[in-house]
Amino acid sequence: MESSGYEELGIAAALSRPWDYPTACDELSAMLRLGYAHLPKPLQFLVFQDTLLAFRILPDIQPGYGVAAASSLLQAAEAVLPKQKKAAAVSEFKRSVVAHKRRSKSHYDGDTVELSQDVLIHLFSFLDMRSLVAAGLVCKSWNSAAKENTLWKIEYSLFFGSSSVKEIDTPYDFDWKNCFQEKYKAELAVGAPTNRAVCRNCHSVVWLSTLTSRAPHSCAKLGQNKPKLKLISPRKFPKHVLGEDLWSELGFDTDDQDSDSDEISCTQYRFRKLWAY
Amino acid sequence: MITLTSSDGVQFDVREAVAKESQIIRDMIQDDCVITNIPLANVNHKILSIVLEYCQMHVDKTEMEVNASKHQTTTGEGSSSVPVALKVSSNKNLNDWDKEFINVDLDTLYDLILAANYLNISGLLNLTTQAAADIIKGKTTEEIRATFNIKNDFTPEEEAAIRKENPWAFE
Repeated sequence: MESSGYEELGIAAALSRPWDYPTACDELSAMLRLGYAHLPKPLQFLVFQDTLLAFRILPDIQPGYGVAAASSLLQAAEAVLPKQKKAAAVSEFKRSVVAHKRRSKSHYDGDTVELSQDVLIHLFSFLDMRSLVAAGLVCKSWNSAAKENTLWKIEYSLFFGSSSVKEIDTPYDFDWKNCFQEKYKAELAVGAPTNRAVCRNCHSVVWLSTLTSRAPHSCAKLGQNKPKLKLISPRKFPKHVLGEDLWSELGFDTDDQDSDSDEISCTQYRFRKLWAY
Repeated sequence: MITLTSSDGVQFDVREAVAKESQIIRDMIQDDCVITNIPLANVNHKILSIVLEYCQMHVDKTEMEVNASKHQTTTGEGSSSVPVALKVSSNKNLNDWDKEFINVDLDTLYDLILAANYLNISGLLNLTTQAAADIIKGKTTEEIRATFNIKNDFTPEEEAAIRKENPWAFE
């Protein structure tokens, strides 16, 4: 029960996605540093396994990602793991750093023929919402492609369901980015950086970085048409890991303040702190 | 056979089916059936050889599937589920091959995107832009500029203004 809550956070899978690798490492570090001693045995084992996994796949992560996050994970592992496990983690890390250096390649430095707006928009359709926003700040040409209405219309349907797209009466010059932004701020923002949402219908955890027009959340219950995503504040993760009923609170309740702080035990409290950065 | 000539003058002889993976070549051949030599002004020989490797592989795979399912029909063995299973496994192999194929340095990837767009090879365009998107993902704006060597052409005022518009996404 408890371990399944941890597994649903999808840390192992996130490690294998270069763009989520640093986040997943940071979460493992935090879990090691603040909660490891309080975790039940099976969970300790899973956290340890994922830590080893993080080091093992470091060589496959592109340069620019990873090494810093993996190093701080190593420090956390050294601080809290028992002797034997510590030794295993350290040797795995060392082997990987050597391999990673060997594979690092130089950056792009060719003379640049600019990509056309069409190609850029096509490329951006493979991005998740946040990366799309970051890409839009790169330069003028990327900025204009990243504002493309069709991209933001898709984002809107990814987050709020394609049926809600149809409900909007759209004039010719409708600004989907602006529309998405207003609804996102009003309904989803949780006040802290988060990279996961839950689907209220099928109760699965969704990494936002994997949510793109090519890979929408396919709700086990209702298909792709009606996802009802709700961002999870990082404060909610610990409860989830400990197998508590996250869903009952989520409902349509948009109040993210913890109303139940009086019943939080010491362990849970530590967990709460764990994610509250 | 059709001869494709790269921008730097290297000639490649390929089967018509392979060349036709490109939509623009397909259109040219349809318009004028006697074409045998096509100059490609925007693709050098290094990139063209990689593009043709992709086309060759995808044509071969498709033909293998067609043959396999023909064989299935003529021998009359088994139910229709067999070719489906075969197709699934060959799609998986092709996906693995694509993944290995696209594991190239950024210069090459960039040139491949331009070539796939110019030649209009939709499979290759998807593969290459997806690979570029994966590199962009999760990076900050500064990291993206550094990785792709893109110059920030905003004035400080413009940049301040667009930055002010977007912080909501990261909260």
